[in-house]
Amino acid sequence: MFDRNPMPWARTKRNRRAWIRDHVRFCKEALHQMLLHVIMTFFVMLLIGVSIALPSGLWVIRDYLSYADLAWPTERGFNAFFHSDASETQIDSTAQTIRNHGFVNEAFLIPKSVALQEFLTAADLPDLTDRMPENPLPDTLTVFVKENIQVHEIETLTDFIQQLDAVDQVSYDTQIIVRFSAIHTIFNRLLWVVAGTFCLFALFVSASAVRIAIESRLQEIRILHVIGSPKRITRGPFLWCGFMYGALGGILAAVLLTLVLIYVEEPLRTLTASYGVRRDLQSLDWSFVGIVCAVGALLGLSSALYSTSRHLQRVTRNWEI
Amino acid sequence: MKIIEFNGVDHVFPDGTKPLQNISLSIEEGTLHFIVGPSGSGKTTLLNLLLGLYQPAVGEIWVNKCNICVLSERQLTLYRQHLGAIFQQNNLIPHRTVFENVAMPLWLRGTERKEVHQSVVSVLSEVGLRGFEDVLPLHLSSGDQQRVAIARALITRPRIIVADEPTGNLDRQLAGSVTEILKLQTTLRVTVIMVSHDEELTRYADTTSRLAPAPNTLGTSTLT
Repeated sequence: MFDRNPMPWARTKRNRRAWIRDHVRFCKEALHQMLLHVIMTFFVMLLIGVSIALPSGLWVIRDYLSYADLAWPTERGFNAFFHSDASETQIDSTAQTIRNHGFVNEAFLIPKSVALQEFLTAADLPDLTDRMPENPLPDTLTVFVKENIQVHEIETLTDFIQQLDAVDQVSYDTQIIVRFSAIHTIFNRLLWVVAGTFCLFALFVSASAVRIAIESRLQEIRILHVIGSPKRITRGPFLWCGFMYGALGGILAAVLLTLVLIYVEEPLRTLTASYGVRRDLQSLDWSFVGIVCAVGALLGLSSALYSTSRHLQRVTRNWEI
Repeated sequence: MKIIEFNGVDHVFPDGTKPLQNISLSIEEGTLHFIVGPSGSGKTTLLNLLLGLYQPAVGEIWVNKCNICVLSERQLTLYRQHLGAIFQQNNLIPHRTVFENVAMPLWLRGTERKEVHQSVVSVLSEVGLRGFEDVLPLHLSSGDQQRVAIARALITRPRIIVADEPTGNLDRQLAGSVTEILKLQTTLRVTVIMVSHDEELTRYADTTSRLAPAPNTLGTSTLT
């Protein structure tokens, strides 16, 4: 009987260059496979692209509406009107108290004389001042809140201002914010549902495409198994295949998204402008395109990992040639 | 020196079929060993056990002083890299050139590109296929395809070559020339285990084992 040894022969050492050569070869093989079935490749890419583009598009629009929601009190501000009998000292000290509040970014005092002058100029009635016994307009403080202040915090702020002695009335319509906030929440939830569903769809499509690639190369896989190919090398081209399906799907998604955003930009701008918020729809920058492609590549790679671990095992277990 | 030893090996398929029973076999290093027997006698199963593709139900298989039955799947993969394997058909990958088919075992080992090229050219010259590097296997005759498979098995200079009916599809003359190429390897201390149903070819063998139906069993073979 022989002595017990861990392995019949010493293991062959592989260096880093071999690893790089392997991946270059996998990449070429995956490209070859994709070009061999170019129509299927295009449809797989298209399906993955649409699956990524839809939730991404919703995300961009949600982001835009979310900005409009937050920008409303930040950009447009709200007004606090002082009592007509409030003294100048009282008004100055109240304005300073408001400015010092943690939620307030800045506040501008518009004296009633300036307000009247602006009103009369705007109404084209410059001589009316002489005929008025007294100025009917109050002194006004226009308050701009800090960014990322929530609706309930703005309500706290308006309550605080309302309770100040010199303040007569605070003009702030929370309903608009509440409505915006509700739309925002709906969009947010829809986004997650759509993103989850379409991600699963993209995974399924990519996994099926990789499975077809495996089925079309059964003989090669079996030969590789018999001549001692490690799992890493056998599944390498299929992982690259999934990765490229996903990454190219991501690029397609970015193109689709750009086209859709160009198409919806105008009505969206009109909608938000009606609420007094002006902002251009953020165009797709390279970082966003990069993220979309990375998500696609990750989805493709995950599906290929799943598909190869499931199907290659089956093939190599029933390896009969 | 004994390089391969089967000790009381039984094999049972998952469906309960028992193709081999109580197989005990020793093969010396640097010999051409023939395993002959009728179709369905378990010759291929025996080779698959040696390749570590099947695990025996009972018994041990020792290769170069190592019991391969206790190796993990990963170790078996590395073990197979040190064997040369040739089959009767479906040996080659049709969409890869002769060069790529032959170079494949070296790719698995991570051999340098230049060395791969030199080795492929050298081994193709050895089997008489120099100049066919860029040809697809489909454009070669059966005999030449089998030579390519032999070249692939030889390229890593393995100490053991396992050949399952490599001459099955060839005429007598080609079968003889393929067997001669394999026989030549034994002069380099390579051990060749060749399965065949052609008793004629056993004239090349240093040793021969015959698989025959085991007494009082149905579909089970043992060595005689």
